[in-house]
Amino acid sequence: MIDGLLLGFYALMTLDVILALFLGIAIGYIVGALPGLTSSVGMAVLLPFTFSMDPVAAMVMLVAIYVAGDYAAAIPAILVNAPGQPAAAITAFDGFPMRMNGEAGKALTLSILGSGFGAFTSTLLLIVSAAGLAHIALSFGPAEYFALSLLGLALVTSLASGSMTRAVIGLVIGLMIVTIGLDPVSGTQRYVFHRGLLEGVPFLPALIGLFALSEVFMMLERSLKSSGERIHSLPSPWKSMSMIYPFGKTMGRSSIIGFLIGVVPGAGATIASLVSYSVAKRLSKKPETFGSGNPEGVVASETANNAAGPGALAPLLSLGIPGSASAAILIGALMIHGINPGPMLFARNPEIPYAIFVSLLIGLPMMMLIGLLGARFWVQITRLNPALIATVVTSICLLGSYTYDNNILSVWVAVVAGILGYVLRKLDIHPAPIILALVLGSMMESNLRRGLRVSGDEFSYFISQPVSAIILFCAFAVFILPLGQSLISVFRDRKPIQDTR
Amino acid sequence: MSTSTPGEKETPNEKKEWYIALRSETADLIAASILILGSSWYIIQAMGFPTRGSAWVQAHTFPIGIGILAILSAIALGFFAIRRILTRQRLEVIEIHKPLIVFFGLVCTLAYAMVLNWLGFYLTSAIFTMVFGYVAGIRKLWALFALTLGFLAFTKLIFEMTLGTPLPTGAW
Amino acid sequence: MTSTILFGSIARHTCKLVPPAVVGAMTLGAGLHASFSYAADDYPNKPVRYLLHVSPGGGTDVLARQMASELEQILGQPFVVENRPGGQTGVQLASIVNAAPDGYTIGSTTATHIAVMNSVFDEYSLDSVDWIAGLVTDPPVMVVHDSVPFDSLEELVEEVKANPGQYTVSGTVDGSTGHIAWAMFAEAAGITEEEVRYVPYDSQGDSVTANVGGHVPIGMAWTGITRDHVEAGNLRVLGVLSEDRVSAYPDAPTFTEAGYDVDPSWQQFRGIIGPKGIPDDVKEKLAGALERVTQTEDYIEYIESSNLNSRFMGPEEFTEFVERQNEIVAEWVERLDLDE
Repeated sequence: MIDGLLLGFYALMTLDVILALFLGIAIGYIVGALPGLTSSVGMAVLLPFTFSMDPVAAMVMLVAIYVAGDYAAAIPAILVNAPGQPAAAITAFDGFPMRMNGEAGKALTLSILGSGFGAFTSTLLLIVSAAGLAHIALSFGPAEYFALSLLGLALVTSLASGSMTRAVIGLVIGLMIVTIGLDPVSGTQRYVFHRGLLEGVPFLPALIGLFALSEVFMMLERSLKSSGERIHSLPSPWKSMSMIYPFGKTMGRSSIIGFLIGVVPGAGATIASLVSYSVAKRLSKKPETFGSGNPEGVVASETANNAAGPGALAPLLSLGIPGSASAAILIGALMIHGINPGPMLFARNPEIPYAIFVSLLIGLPMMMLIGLLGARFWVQITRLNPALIATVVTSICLLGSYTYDNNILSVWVAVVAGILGYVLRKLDIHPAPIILALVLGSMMESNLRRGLRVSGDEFSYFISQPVSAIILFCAFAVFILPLGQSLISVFRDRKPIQDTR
Repeated sequence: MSTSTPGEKETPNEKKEWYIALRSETADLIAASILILGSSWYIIQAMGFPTRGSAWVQAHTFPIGIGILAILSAIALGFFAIRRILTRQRLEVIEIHKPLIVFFGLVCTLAYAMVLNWLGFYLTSAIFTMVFGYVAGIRKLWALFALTLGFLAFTKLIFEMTLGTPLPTGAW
Repeated sequence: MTSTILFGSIARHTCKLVPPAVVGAMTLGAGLHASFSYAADDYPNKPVRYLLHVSPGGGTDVLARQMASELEQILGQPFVVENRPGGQTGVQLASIVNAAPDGYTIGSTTATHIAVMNSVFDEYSLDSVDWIAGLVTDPPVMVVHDSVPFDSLEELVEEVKANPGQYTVSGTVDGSTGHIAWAMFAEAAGITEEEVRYVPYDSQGDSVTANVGGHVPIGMAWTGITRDHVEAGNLRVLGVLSEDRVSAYPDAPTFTEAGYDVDPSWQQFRGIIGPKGIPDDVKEKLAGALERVTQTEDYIEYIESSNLNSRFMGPEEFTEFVERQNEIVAEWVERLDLDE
């Protein structure tokens, strides 16, 4: 392996490759921060430019976009409650309240520190265990995926800071939206009112609408005047490193959670964030402060979702299985250079995986530095006139939803989702459960049905496998415990903790 | 996430500001009724989906399950609302500040989606950015112009020229 | 819920908004090509739009972008790739059908187009578009997890008949190319649905992963996606559905060789389509340029590394090819009770 890393360093030590690394980070940082663009979109549109590049440089650039984009999605989540990717929706849970409390700088700094720490730890884990972990990826069948998605949905109900009823309502609305389109197993049309919805409601425009546009309408309500809000001054980048200390444990734990869940193809950053956030909340001495601006929430979510990124590279590099949309684009990029990513990659083209490892090791500190300097710039945005922010955010959001698939229908989806999100917010129903249900819903349904086809309609299939049985038990516990508590409190005729507003 | 930011509505130079207030229990009951109606429709639709073979879980099973869960959660929402009314807990109010501005904001975004294909991207965005900016509270004309030009230039540069996005050109 | 109701009404609005412009463009385009028959002489004299039914980044997208840059070199005008994903190819199909048939709008096509024309869309059929050229075919391949106790199609049939309900086969959604390939084989071998159940996955990649992980022991897949797993010893190939053996798996018999009477014209494919009514000379010029692209070094290298099967088909041959595909789909959609 040391030989391999040396090979990687050697491959990286050309001006082209270093330039590609830097360019990739910069591009990823920009596309990630714009609502409507994600790292996978950025990678896809830059793919043609990599055709003429050296394969190592091309891969290094795309991987840099991948990790930097995943990080940058937290910036709009914190500043305007408009997560650039679903995983960042969980960051927004505490990040945006922190910004409203005048702690935008702290939230941004912690998010980049957590991201960098998580991704770096995860890269180290990836380097030592890439080949061995392939087996985790393969051991996940329909039963395990079903259990995992159920756990995710159960965690959604528990992560809500206020009422559980309202979180469940958000969840079912999301699940209803996710059934629109062709059913993933039998291809039946369900609730298809428009041809464009055959493949379901476009996800990113829905995310933009529910979070960003509904937040804009809230901003319209709040004030026409410059907020003049006080900004806590930021320490220098070097000093801000010390902000890690109180969160050392959270970061360590979240990195491991993020890496392990990231390895499972298709589960990805969102579930990683969810699990890590819930664990942090459970272990916290003040769980009630989560959701109203607890910095630990930002750290837990960001660390885990960025740790999932390098984790997703394990099945890609060792088996050619894409764990995420971005990973699928990396496969396309390799194939255009005549390299077939698959179980033979390490044997045939060892320079590719090792160059990726080394570029992550060098690129991540670079990304952190850019992020820390960037935080000082971004925090100034909170000083701007809110009317200006509202206008710019809306214009970019509408443009972003159109460019998602070059279709006006997506603009409609964003606008309707924005209005729906605004009404639900007024009813104190947070958009996060809706978005998480959109991510997890079809995973749950298709794997349940697939599992039943595999087993010949035997439900015992789902509990007869140890991994899925354990996950299902956790999901059950997560869902039943708070429900039981609140039922007891109802019958004791106390103020129901279930419905505090 | 609290729905209102206390303190703001009492700023001295905005005394005349009016806002819509709705008792939260009433809102919850309305929401619960809409949810129950919607879910019933959702379930009825699901029952019409074709079934194939003898599998237990068909295309309609999952939607029917979600529909039932939705009705149950709506009933819970209504139950807690009635319970709060009966036990006369402290009155909670949902406030919509500056309702006219919010309404115009909503109309602007809807109008954007409606005319995008007709007017093309650049014209629609130019009009939208200016009108929305004005509604949001930017009253300086030069600022509106600068903002609009800046946004259009950004789009041209990043999306059309760099990313090659086919933006709608309009019907004429 | 309320959201779904809203989506419904909005959907109708967008429908109303589109046509006038498009109809105008269409009549204009149709008029032009009727009056100027020398169209092909200076075709193309402006950029050509190349509409894809997929999102950026996947195999079809990558191939299309490479083709576009080669076409630009040959024909001297840019071929602008636009992604129009969504709606099960419906979004892209609508753009193509409504474009002027002048050769300045073309699109990508795969077997999915034929499937949806049969089972999803009432308004589109093979006649809705012009089939300009076929580029690649990818024969269905039957793979098994390395641990299964059989090593030929014949033994497979014996084994699954001896253990009804013990085995499953994976592929993509019901009615997809792989599903139909399996159904055709199952019928030829006399295997019933109760003996081997078909398990659909969201993508071919997921399906092969399930085979490699042993969750579903048998899989219907393609040469390209399975080759490395076969080489690494995770999967074994039992048979190929094609007329001749494929170069990737010289030892794997075709279904016919193994004694199963399955129509070998059933293939996954990629090609180019355009709006109905493109003048023949323009079509020929385009097809000629495409054929030259398939002979370039970069293209050949890409096809080889992706383990695809280069098979160029001109307009007539391609139209015949898709007609045969269409007959098979129509027959099996009905037999598998997939029509709604």
